[in-house]
Amino acid sequence: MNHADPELRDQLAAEYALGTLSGHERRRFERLMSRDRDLRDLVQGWELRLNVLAESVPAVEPPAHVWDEIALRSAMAPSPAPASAPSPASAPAPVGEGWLDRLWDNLGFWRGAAALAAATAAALVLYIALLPPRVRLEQIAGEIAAVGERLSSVARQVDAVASRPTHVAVLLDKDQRPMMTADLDVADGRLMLRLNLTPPRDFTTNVLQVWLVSPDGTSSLGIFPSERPGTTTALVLPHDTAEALAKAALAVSLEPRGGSMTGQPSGPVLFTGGLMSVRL
Amino acid sequence: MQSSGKRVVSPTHRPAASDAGGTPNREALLQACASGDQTALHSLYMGTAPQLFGLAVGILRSRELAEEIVQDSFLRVWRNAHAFDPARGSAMAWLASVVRNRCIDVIRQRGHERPLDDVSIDDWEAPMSSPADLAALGRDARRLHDCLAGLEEQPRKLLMMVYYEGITYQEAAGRLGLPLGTVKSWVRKSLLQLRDCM
Repeated sequence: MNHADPELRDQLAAEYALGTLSGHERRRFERLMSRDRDLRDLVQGWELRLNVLAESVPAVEPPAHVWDEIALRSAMAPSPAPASAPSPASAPAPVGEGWLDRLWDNLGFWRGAAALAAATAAALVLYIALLPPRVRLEQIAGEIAAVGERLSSVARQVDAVASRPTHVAVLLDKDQRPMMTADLDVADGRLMLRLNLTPPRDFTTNVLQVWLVSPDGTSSLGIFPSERPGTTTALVLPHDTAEALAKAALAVSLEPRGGSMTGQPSGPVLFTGGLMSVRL
Repeated sequence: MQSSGKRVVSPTHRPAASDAGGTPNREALLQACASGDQTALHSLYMGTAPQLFGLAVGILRSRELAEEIVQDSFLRVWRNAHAFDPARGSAMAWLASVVRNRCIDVIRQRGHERPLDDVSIDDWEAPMSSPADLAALGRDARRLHDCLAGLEEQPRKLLMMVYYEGITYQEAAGRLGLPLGTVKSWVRKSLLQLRDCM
């Protein structure tokens, strides 16, 4: 076939856009397109011409989970800026915090700021209630020792003697329910996770897998041991991981038994939450 | 000023405000996606996903598969929104290109989930919205419909069938009981007429 013939090129471009080429012809044409910018332009022209037909397709409402998944995954993979310099009119989100802002936005935190604050307070109360007796004693001892000193000094000493979390997170599902609470001590890398509610999912063949989600990517922190409410587990993270987590978010996905095979969440992400510093 | 402004607008240029009146401006939403605005992605999804899902279900004949494709397509749109050029065409056509290309890739790999019934070209009906909805179409869509109306009935229906079902020449010929040569020549002739008309 003479691929230099303008009429033939246009015909093939139209047929590719319309989709009449067989699988083999389609792949072959794509190879041609990959090294022929003009051909890509012809195809795009036809695609834009023909695909206005989609406007007259009867609407079919997709189920809600389709958007939920898009929202979550788009928050994890921020839209890249174009390679060219941004126009002065566009104001890209500040690097490093935009992605988390979007995660919050996406999950509707902006709508439920009060609920979030309440949930965070509840998580802090929960954390204090859950502190092992040894820690509580040390904390009290620290406080007694600090009597007579100025308040700021007390705070410093309490921090020094009690192994208390430096960061907490409340992981909310799409309905804003606090599904899991997490507390992290960056210094010793201890991450405590507590499942508060059982997600309404099938756990005969599935498990909950915990992920660290940061602008640098998503990595597994492990499988959560049970779906029963009240289950608490402690992980000891390498120092680098704990430091990364302090500035990142946790996500829990539903995965087949044994965990995701891909190293990334393969099932639906059920709940997420960003870590917040508890130091005031 | 206003009248001279109107004259220089090319046929494919989309104005900042929607030409359908109350509908949101999808072009602006798509451009906002390019700068990372997730609220814009949500608005775009709300305004276009039902039709894109309808398009995908029609081609794939599987809701589950269509859900996957729509999900995957919107993530592609999110990542590649900066590649959209409103001077070249409408946002809906761009979005539909993404969805439809993915659908066709999938059915070329896996085949249709359910076999296509034989049908005569005269009995086949295009899956169209109500006339009231058609009245609210964007400018490019109205132009295409006007051009389609200029085609002979059978070639026009064939072109629509190929578009809405994502089938190959071979499949169309088999389904309609028409010679492959006839199917190819009808579609190619229709495409040429459309190109000249638009």
